[in-house]
Order: sequence, then structure tokens, then C-alpha cells
Amino acid sequence: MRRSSGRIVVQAALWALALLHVYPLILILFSALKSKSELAYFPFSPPKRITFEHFHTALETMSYFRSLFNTVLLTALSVGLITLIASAAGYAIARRGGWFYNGLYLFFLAGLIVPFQMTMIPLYKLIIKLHLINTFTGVTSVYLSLLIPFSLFFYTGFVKNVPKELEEAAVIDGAGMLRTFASVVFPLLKPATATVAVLNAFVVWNDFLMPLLFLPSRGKQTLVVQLFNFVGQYFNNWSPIFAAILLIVYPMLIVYLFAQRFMIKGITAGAMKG
Amino acid sequence: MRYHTVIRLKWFLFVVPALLIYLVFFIVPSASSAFYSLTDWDGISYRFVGMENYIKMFQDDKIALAFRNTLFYAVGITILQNVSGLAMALLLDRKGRGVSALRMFYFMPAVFSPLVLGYVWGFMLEPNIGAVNSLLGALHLPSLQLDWLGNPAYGKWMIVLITVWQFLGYTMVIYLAGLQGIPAELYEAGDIDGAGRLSRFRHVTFPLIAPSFTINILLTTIGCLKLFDQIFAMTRGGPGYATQSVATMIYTIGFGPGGKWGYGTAVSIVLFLFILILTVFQVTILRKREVEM
Repeated sequence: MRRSSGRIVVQAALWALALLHVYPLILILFSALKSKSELAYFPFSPPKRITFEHFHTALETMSYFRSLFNTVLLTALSVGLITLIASAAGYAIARRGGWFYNGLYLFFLAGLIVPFQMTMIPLYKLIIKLHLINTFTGVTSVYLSLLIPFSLFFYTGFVKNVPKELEEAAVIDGAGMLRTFASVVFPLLKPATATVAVLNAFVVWNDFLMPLLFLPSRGKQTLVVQLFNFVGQYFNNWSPIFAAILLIVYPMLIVYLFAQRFMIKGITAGAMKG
Repeated sequence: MRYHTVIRLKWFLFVVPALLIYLVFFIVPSASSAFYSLTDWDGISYRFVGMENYIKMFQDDKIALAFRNTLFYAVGITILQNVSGLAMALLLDRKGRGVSALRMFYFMPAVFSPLVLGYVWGFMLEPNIGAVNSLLGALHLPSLQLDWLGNPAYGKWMIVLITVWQFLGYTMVIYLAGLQGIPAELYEAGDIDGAGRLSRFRHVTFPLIAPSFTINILLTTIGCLKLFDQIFAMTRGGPGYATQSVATMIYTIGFGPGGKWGYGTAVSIVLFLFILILTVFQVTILRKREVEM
């Protein structure tokens, strides 16, 4: 008897905590659809009268579709390239070994504990000097440099568990090293690629600091930076701010609801191997 | 060329793209930070000033406060997030439709940008119209209606709690993965020995999730030492400098008015040393625990 009442309390607490995790997302929806006066007087009830007026402001001021495109492009570029360069490097390190490659491996891993803040100021200067400011090439290069340590670490660990026989067979058949890598090895690394891609896609998609620093022009900005500017411009004018937040959060929420198993698996695999 | 040299070069080519990008955009700027930290660099010209920046830093109350705050965030978030994440994992380490829904809800905030969710919480914690104070008013608890973000004593705690709120699901799934790797026979053996719940946790579960424990502690600590977005969204380091972390402080020094880049790089070097020492310390302790079990 006492045991089951305890269980009920635990269950209730678990669901209360779940509500606390969901409520802010519901609040975004409610607040974005309310008129300004309704939001001021009834900040946390559902909207009585639905209005879409704030979306107009948000879409226009944030150049929403442009920024969405920028964010997608930047994420796709960074994730695509990191899987290629990190898998290639991880492959060589895992297969070659020896003092040289092991040393390189440690050299790359050292990047895991260097905070971005330590590179930030000279990097900013460098990006300006190379005329890479306001270019996707510049930001993508910065992302790649930051994502290399973890991605390479993950690929190297994975390659070590992939048997060599298939590669050797390909070499005997006369395939060159690059061919062997592209057509035999890379496909075998698919699970690792999935994890590296999911994890890094989150990092790039949600990142605030790099685009803030390296893409100052309006036409190049990503969604998160647009929101940052929007909040500055519409200071304390919460209705349009919530419409803007909704436009950023809800597309991702829908992706999460459909792909959550895959996403959670990718993220845990990354941490467990690490 | 000798055949072996060609093969060697070909292998090396696989590493070249990663190595080049890493060197140019990561290693060179990091190393320059060490160099510029000894100068009065303002972005255009510089001259050597020796250890002046470091000496100035140790007399700078704002920097000392930023380091104290960072330590507060790191310790607070690491402890709370791991305790709650592990508790949730233990409670949800079973099957059932309710269980997977709960896991999905807890994890949900972790997929969004901390800046964006920081704004939502900024609204909820707003003292006059925010949901939190409205709720407290409705519960007839006006004495608890506080200025959650405007008062630095609460503001710092809010930054801790909201970060924990956002990422406890992440910590939880890593612990869950660890728990699911424990073979059932070990628990059965414990049952035969008549182990109670608590001793079962102490002697079976906890030692066996040591790898998840290590990775979670390291991930949260390293993440917290670089805490930036949450603070930027909720308090902007204010009021004054009261809630600044080292990361937001370096940004303020480097890209705020004045542009004291030499000084900023010196602070970043100290942050790096701080992280380095803490990581080495943690890895040593945590690995030892993994081996002993």
C-alpha cells in the first residue's frame, strides 16, 4: 500500500517535470498567436482570439526565408565537408599508426580542451586579413577547424574496429587508395558518419557566436543571429519576438518529433564512444 | 621515387585537408593568442608589454568576478545536471509507453539553441508580466515574486537552473545508455545475496556506469566553462558585470567598446589554463575510479 502511493508521487513528479519541459514550447505558440494586449493581461493562457499579425513583422524583419536558406546552406556545407575530411584523416591515422600518426592524433585531440575563446580574437583578425569576413567559405572553414578534433577522434575509433580484408581485396583488384577509400571504406563507416553528422549539424544549426562574429552583413545572417538582432530592435515587445521564436523553434520541433529516436541515438553514440 | 615513399605520401594526403584547416584556423590563432597576450594589441598595432596584461588581470575585479561566476556555473550545473540526469535515468530505465514519452519530453529542449530558449525564459522570469511571478501571485505567494534576472544573486541561479533544465535530458540519455549496458545477471546475483536497493545501486549500478559518469562530468564541466549563449540571452552579463562568465567577458573585452585585444587574449590564455588543469584533474580522478571497480 505504502509502496504504491510512493510510486504515484514519483509518477506525478515525473510528469510535472515533463510539463516544465514542454510548457515553454507551448508558451511560444500561445504568445505568438495573441494580440499584444492579450499577452500583457493574460500572459500564460491560450489565446482567445488568434491573430497572425506578428508573423508578418517577424518574417519581414528577419528576412526569414533568406536566413533559413543561409542556415541550411551553412549546416549542409560544414557537415558534408567535415564527414569527408575527418573520415579520410581518421582512416589514415587508424590504419597507419606509428609515432608520426599517433603524434598527429594527439595533436588533433588537444583541440578538444582548447576553448574557442582562446582562438577568437586572433581568428577574427585572420578572417578579415584573408578577406573571408562575410563569406560562407570563412565561417565553414572555422566550423571545420572546430569540429575536426571530435569528428576525427570518433572516426579513428570506428575505423579501428572495421576489418581490413575488404580493403585488401580491393587493392588486389587493382583499385587505387582513393578509390578503395571512396567505394569500400567510406560506405562501411556509415554508422559513424550518421553520428558525426547529427551531432555536428546541431552545433552548427544552433550556433550563435561564429555567425555573429564572421557574418556581420544582414544578407548573410543565420536564424539565431537574426533573432538576436530582432530582440534588440523590438526590445520588450514580446508579441513579435515570440512570432520570431516560433518561426525558429517549431520547424526544428517538428523534425525532432519525427526523428527523435535517430537523433537521440546519434547523440548518445557520440558521447559513449567519446 | 621509391615505391615506399610514394605510398607514404599517398597516405599522408588523406590527412592533409584536415591538418591544413586545423593548423590555419585553429592552431595558428591559438598560438597567436599566447603571443599577443604579451602585447598591448588593439587590432592595428602592438608593442611588447611583458606580463603587464596578466598583472593587470589579477588586480581587475571584473575579471576575478567573471572567474568566480564561471566556477559557480560550472560546479552548480555539473552537480545538479548529473544528479538529476542520473536520477531520471534510474527512474526511466524500464519499458513502457509513458516512459518513452517522458524521455522524449526531457530531451526535447536540448535540440534548440540556448540563446532562443534563453529569451523564452527571459519572458517567463520577467518580474511584472512573467509567467513565474503571475503563477506565484495566483498562488497567493507575493513574497516570492522576485526580480529573477535583475538581482544578481537570483540571476546566477537562474542561469544555472535553466541550463540544467535544458540539458538534463542529454545527460539522462547518456546514463540510460550506460545502464542498459549492465548485464541482468549481475542484478540477479545481487538479489540472491539479498542486496537492498541502495546497496545494489552502490555496488552494482554505480561502479558499472563509471564510463558514462566520466563522460557526463567532463562534457558538462567543459561546456559550462565556455558558457555564453544563455548569459547573453538572459542577463547579458548584467546588471553591471554581476553575471558575466569568462567567455562573455572575453567577448566584451574584445568586441565591446575599446577593443583591448591584447588584454582579451591574456584572459583567454588564463581560461585555457583553467580548463586544462581542471580537465587533467578530473580525468585522473575519474579514470582511477573506472579502473578500481
